[in-house]
Amino acid sequence: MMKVIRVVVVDDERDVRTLLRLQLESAGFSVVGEAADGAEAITMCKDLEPDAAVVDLLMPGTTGFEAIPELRRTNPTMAIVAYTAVAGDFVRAEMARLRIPLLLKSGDPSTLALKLRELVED
Amino acid sequence: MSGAPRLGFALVRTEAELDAIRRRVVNVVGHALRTPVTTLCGMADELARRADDPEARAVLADGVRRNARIVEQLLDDLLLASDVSTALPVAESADIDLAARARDVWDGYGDARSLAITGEGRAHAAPPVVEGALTKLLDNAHRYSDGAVAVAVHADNGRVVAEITSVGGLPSEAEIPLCTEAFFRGEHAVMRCPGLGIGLTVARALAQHAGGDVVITVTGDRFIATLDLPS
Repeated sequence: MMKVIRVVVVDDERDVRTLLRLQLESAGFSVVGEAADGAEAITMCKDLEPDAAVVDLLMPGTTGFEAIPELRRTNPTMAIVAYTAVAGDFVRAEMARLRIPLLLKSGDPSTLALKLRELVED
Repeated sequence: MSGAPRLGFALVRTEAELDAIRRRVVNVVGHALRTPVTTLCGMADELARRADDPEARAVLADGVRRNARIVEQLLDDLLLASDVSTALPVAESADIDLAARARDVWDGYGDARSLAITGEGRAHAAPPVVEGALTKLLDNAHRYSDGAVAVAVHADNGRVVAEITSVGGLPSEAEIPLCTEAFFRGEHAVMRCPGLGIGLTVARALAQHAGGDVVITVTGDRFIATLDLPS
């Protein structure tokens, strides 16, 4: 039986979080938490210890850029995927430097689902 | 002979500059549209898949409406920022209580910071124009400032002025004159959250249409947007 992967989604847009929850749950994931910014994500991931976090980068308050290194420190085994609307040169370089997989937001969740499974099950 | 190469060089450089501006505009518009359009696509797919799940369908239908309105607002803002007058609201002039409208707009954000309002005054102009300008200025304070936000209203000699003062999240000195330029986003704004860089441009266009103006100043750690309108 396939392991149910526990995911926290982090995005300042409520509708993006809602959609990700519905899409990931349809794909067999369990969305255990939703955070609206990086600071909330850090606290939530410490408490819930999910298998993976899907993190937007540009958010008011603590951005994804700021939160990801801290998430790495507090949840070292948790998979992290950066999920952003647009990835310019800076975003691509920064995620490559941090060795964080970067995916563009899409109406089709299959690429995100595949990446999460690959990261958690490897 | 010495004039022609200079002219040619100047034209080439101008073309390169225009190309850079074109890319910047397409980039920020694409960025701003990407999230609501992607969300609309995803929600439409989920609606189609969930014929037997009325609870999820209700949530998705709300989301579709909200994101469609975001796209509609973006379209209006783009037209206004580009000085296309067809996007200007059409309405009869009326008296608008700026302090009360500011309170209503701020309360809608659900921002934990309280909005301090002092003074009173009524603008006399088309309500959607005044409300649009005021909303854009408060949006800017809500999105980009780190500290307190205050509105001071005073009326005098046929004019009414609302000063929206916010603490923190300041543009650099060089960026201040560019704040009302279409598609300009300061470094702080870019790192803070997505946006088109046209909110203050639209506020100014609306205020000018109503016979007023918007002026941006920075004093110490305070960002001040002054909305001047006929009363």
